[in-house]
Amino acid sequence: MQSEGMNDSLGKEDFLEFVFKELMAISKGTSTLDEESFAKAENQEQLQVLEGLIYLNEDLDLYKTELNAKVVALEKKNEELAQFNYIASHDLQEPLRTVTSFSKMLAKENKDTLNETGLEYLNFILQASERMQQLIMELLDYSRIGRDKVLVDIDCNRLVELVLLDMSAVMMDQKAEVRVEELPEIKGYKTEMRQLFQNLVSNAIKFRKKDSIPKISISAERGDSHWIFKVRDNGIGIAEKHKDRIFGIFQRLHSKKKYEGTGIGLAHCKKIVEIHNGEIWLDSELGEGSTFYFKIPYNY
Amino acid sequence: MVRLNCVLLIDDDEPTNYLNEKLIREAGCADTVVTKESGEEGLEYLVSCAEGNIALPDLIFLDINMPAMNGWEFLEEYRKLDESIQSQVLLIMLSTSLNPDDHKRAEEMQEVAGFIHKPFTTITLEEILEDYFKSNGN
Repeated sequence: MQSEGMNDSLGKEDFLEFVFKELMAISKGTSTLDEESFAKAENQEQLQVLEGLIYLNEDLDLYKTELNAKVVALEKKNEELAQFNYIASHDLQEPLRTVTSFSKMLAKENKDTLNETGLEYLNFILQASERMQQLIMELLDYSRIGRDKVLVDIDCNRLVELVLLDMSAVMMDQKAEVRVEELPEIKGYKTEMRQLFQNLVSNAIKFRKKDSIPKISISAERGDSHWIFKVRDNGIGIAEKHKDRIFGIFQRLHSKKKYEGTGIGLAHCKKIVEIHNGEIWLDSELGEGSTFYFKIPYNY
Repeated sequence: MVRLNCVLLIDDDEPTNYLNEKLIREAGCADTVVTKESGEEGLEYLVSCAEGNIALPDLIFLDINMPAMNGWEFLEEYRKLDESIQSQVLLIMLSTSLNPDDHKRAEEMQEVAGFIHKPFTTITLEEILEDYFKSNGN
C-alpha cells in the first residue's frame, strides 16, 4: 500500500473507484483487501463498505472452496460409476459365456439322450443367457455414449440422409414414407447424433399401426437459444402415464413376444440429447401417433 | 397340508412362470395354477372369473417389473375391482427387487399381504400356506 502523507483516505470519487476495482478483484478471486485497507476510508460509512467487502471476499472464498471440493467429489463419483458399469459388464460376460457354451454343448452332445423336458430346460437356459448377453452389451453401449468424443460441425440433412440409407431395407419392407424438411447445421457428437436419429426413426417404424403404412416426418425449428427437432410418426402412440418411463433403461411397454428388444433405445436417445445439453420429450396419444421433440443448443 | 383351489401367477418372464407353476404343482397344494404374462391379462382374468362365476384364485403372486402395466399399476387397478373380489384373494408380491423402497411401498398397501424375493422356493410356499391359510381349515 502506498503512503500519501499521514492520511491515506481517498476522496469520494476515488473511493468509489477503489470499491469498484475491489469488487472486480473479488469476483476474480484476486482481491488483497484486508484491515490495512481501512485507512482508505475517510468516514464511518466508507469504513462499513470496506468491512462489507472483506466479508464478501471471505464468504466467496469459502463458497469457492466448498464448491471445488464438491466438483472434485462428483468427478470422482462419475468416473467410479463409469468404471463400475464398464467393469461389471465385462466381468459379467465371462461366467455368462460359460453358461452359454456349456448349455450349447449339452444340447449338441446329449440331444438324443435328453428327453423333451430336458431340451425345454436347455432352451430356457440358452434363451435367457442370450438375453442377458444382449442386456450387458447394451448397458455397455449406454455407458460409452459421449465418452472421449469430439465436437464437430454436423450437417443434419446429410446425417439423416445417411441414417435413412442405412435403414433402406427395413423402410422398403414396410413401405415407409419419410419426409425430411430442411434441417440445420449443429455442433455435436456425430456418431451419437446419428444414433439418435436412427433410434427415433426405427422406433417410428417398429411401433407402426397394423395395416397402415408408416409415415414419418423429420423437421427442425429455430428456438431462442436452440434448435427444436421434431420426429413425427403415425404409429400406435404412447399413453400419457408412460411418457416419462419410456426414457428409462430397459423399460418396455409391450411383451417381448409382441415387440422384440430390450427397451434401451430411448434411454440412449435421452443420454445423447443430454450430453448435448439438450432435452427430449414427446407428444402422443394412444392410437394417434407420436411426436418426439429434442432441443439442441446453438452454441454447444 | 392345505390345498388351495387356484393360484394365479402374474409375471412377464416365461421361464419364471414355468418354474413357479411347476413348483406349486409339485407341492400339490393347488387344484389349478394359472399363469398370466402381464398385469392387464391378470386383471382380465380376475374380472372374467367374477363375471363367469368361476372361482377366483385364492392366492396371487405378482411381479413388480413388467412392461406397460407394472406391479404397482396393477395394484392401482386391482383396488378398483369389486371388494368381493379382493376379499377372496390373498396377494403376495414376488420380485427380484432388493430395493428397500419397494418393500416398504408394498408393506404400506392394504391390498398386499406379503413381499417375497425371487427365487420362489418350496419353503417359502409352505410358509405362506402355513401363515395365511392354515387357520381356514380344510
